[in-house]
Amino acid sequence: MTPITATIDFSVNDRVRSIKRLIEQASIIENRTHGQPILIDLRKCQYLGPDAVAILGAMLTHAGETSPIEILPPEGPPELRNFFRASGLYDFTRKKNTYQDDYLFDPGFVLSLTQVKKASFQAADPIMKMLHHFGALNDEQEESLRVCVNEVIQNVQDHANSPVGAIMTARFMRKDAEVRVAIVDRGVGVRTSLSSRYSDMTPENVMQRVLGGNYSALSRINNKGLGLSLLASIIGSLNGDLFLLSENSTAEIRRGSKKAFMRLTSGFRGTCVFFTLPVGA
Amino acid sequence: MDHTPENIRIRAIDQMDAEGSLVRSGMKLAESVLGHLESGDQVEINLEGVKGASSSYFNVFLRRIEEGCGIGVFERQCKMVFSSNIQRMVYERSYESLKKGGPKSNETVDPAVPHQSVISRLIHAIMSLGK
Repeated sequence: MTPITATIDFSVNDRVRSIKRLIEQASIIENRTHGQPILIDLRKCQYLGPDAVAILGAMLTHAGETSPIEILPPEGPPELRNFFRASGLYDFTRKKNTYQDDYLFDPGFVLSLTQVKKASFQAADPIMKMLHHFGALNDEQEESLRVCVNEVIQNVQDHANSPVGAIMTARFMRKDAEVRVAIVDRGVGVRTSLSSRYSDMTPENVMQRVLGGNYSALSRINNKGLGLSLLASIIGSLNGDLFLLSENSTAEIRRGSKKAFMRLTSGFRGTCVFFTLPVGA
Repeated sequence: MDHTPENIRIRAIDQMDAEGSLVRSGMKLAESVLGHLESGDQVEINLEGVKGASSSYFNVFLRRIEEGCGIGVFERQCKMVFSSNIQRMVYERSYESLKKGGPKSNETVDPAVPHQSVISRLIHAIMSLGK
């Protein structure tokens, strides 16, 4: 059977534009017939970060339940190729032994794609292990990071009904003294979840509301609508960045800037949470 | 038999769920505290060593205590000991939310059903038909 091919070739570094383009390009695989092979062509791709890797990882983990997948690796700069290799996307490539390193990249800097199905105190352990390996974390930073991860994973478990749970990856940027975390699910999305309880949720207002707090689908007795607002508070107080994308809505909080909200024309089935926190002394 | 109130110290780290569930750990901590509060004891709840306690952890803990003893018991008989500023912030957000009565609602919500899961809404709707 002829594979359905998604060519990922964006090169911009602006996050919203990058992610929007990635989703548009990758969404073609949603049109496949049952069992039709998937080919992801990353050869012309000039940018990959934990956000893009987590989106592709979540889409492919879900699609991989019914279709065989192959990825053509990026041919860009060595750092990009080696990040791809460390990210876990490499496992989808056919020729696993012929992808040569020509750049010394410590894979310990990257948490490869990790599937998390249950909210627990251990959910952030893989990220902690990576950061402790480099001695890059004090107690307060660890607590912040653990709470942020746990809030997101608990949301996925309680509200998303995601067939793949949460797909998580992270990258330690030693030069910038920060960790970049991406958690993506393929669930119903924030607005759809909240619409069962709030009739006036729109793509324009949903993110502003959830970041303000006290909006919850009340799917479980432990829900109070605090998770995403806490996430924003913690990240904001530590001078980190936060980017949320769910269905057709995005929210971005960048250090030193106002919150920005945007509606996308082509949305994403599920929710993406990307955040950056400073680590190190 | 009369009970002389005591000063009790409970370590949250000793009340963790075996699988690490945040929600079940919060519930387990509440259950370990409730009996003492009902007896009039002063309880110090020490959270040292508990890493990554989320709002869900504190929500179920606070809610269970409130159900058993009322919200006033937190100020009368509980002393929380936190291991970080972040932990304190998460707890305080949960506590404030409890005091305010939880999330916002709108006209689509039946106030008689304060926590509506899909199943509970369905059951409530079916029961309403019979009224």
